Amino acid sequence: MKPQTLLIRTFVILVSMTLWLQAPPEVRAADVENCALCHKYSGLGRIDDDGKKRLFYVNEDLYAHSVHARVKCKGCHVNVEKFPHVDLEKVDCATECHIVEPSVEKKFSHAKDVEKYEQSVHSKYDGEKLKDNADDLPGCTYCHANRIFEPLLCEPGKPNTIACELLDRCLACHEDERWAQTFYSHVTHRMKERRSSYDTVTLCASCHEDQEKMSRHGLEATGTYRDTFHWQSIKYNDPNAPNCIDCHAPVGYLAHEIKPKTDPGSAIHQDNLVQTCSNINGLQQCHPDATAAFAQGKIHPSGAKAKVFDTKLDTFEVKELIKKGEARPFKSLMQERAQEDMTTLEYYQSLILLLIKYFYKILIAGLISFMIIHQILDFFATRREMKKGGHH
Amino acid sequence: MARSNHAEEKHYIRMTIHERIQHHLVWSTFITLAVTGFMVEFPEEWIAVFGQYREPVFYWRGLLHRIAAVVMIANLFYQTWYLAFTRDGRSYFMDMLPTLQDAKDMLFNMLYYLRISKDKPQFDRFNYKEKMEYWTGWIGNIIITLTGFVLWLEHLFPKFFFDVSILVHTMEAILASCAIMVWHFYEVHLKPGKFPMSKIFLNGKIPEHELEEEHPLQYQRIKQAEEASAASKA
Repeated sequence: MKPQTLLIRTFVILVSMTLWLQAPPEVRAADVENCALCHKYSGLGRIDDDGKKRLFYVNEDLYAHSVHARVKCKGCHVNVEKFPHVDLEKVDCATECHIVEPSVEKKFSHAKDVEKYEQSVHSKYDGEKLKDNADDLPGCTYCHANRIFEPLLCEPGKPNTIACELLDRCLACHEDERWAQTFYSHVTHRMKERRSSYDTVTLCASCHEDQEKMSRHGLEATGTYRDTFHWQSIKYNDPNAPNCIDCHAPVGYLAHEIKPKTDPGSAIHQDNLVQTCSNINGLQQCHPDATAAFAQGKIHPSGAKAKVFDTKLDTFEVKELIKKGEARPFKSLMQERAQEDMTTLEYYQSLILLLIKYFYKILIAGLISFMIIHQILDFFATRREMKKGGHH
Repeated sequence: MARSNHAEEKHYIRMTIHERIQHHLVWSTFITLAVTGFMVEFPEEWIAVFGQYREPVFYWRGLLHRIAAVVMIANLFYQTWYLAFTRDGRSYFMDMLPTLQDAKDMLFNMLYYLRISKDKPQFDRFNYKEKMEYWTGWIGNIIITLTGFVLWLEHLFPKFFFDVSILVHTMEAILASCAIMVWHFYEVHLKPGKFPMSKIFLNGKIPEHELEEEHPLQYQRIKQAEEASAASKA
């Protein structure tokens, strides 16, 4: 590329960027409260009383394209009254925000979702009581961010979809394009999966693969999901590949209401497993011929090993240390859990699996080592013969 | 290896046309199966290379694996027919049967490698290396076929069968691939004098000096037979 061309291109890009930044003001969410006066500065932040770094910067442009773009700041940050903002209440997703939902003309709120979540296994509360280690449990924002709208788009090069005409149809009556665009996004954003399967697994695994955290709640950490064919196919972006939600909250269940597997309302309760594996009612039938025998046993355990290697790991001394809080109860908790959960049959099954694994590991290591040594010796012997004989 | 009079050197048949076709089917399906199979064991960074084509790659991977598997299994039946119902096949089978002599050969060959023994063992048509490879190949093939069918028809079996099968299938594949790379690739590709490859699998012919050197007992038998037939003609 010639230097002039590069210069011209840079110039064009810079100019067009400025034009874009100076886009007409009505494209942005109206900041009637004038919060952006301060919060538009990217350095705005402080170290709070707990020594935690807090950032108070809000990227206006991103916010304007997010699902909450039409909610004013004080819709969620309710008691901001004075400067500096002291004694702020934590944002509560169950707050009624200042948007009136047009179909029923009531103020909008996430209270219903929060209510369902409070009854799920992930809730911080057990009735009115705060659960032990409640900090480990995910609140709304652990999984949900203020997402950027991802509406259905008419993608060039792909076959025409309804998306290519949809917005035009809205605009036939709703002449304000910005208004139509917002509600088009609002509706069609929900027609897509919010996360890729990969991201869903990453999100769930951020807690459920943490053995320490899981053991605090008497749970088994997910041990072998990443060894399964399910995960392999997610890595290849296979649309049929199941992520956590596809089995733990499939069609007919809600992710907000995930229940423990002992609860009959859980998708992985023994009585519901055949339905969950076959997913007969879903768009994608996964294992349509699944039988009760197929759907038994554990899919991605780590406790199986704990049970099989149930030696005398928990000596008296270790138990004393755990009582004093000087040792982690991980091993013992895992074993307790495995003991409760596993039937004798499952115990022998995992024992057989382990034996096969070790048999093959020893066989492969032994046989291949022998072969390598044999062939190296053959190499030198052949060289010797060639030097000595020259002609055969 | 000096090869004087190469053009005029006499050649003997080592692989019949059936054996060569079977071998071509085995190596082509084996490589296909190994590549498409280990693709589900790849780390994420390797899969990222496929970029936007990950999805079709995954689809074709599964399809090719099954096609190659069916061809490989069909080839097993072809070989069984060949071993049972043709004269060449029956002699191949009889010569391939392991004997006590093979164990002795292996021991003395190792001693020869280590320069403890000065005499190299005299091998017949198939030496202990070839017999080991052939029969472990059969065993591995049967194991991997059976477990493969369990994985393919997963819904017909309890989950425990599935768990065992996926473990055995993978482990057997690792074992077979390592064995082929160390044992077979050295023997016919990398061994001094063989590089880049022995041509026997292409034209089926072994040069006289190679036969004499590597399979002396078979060579002696052939020579005696040739002399006997020459004498009877004269």
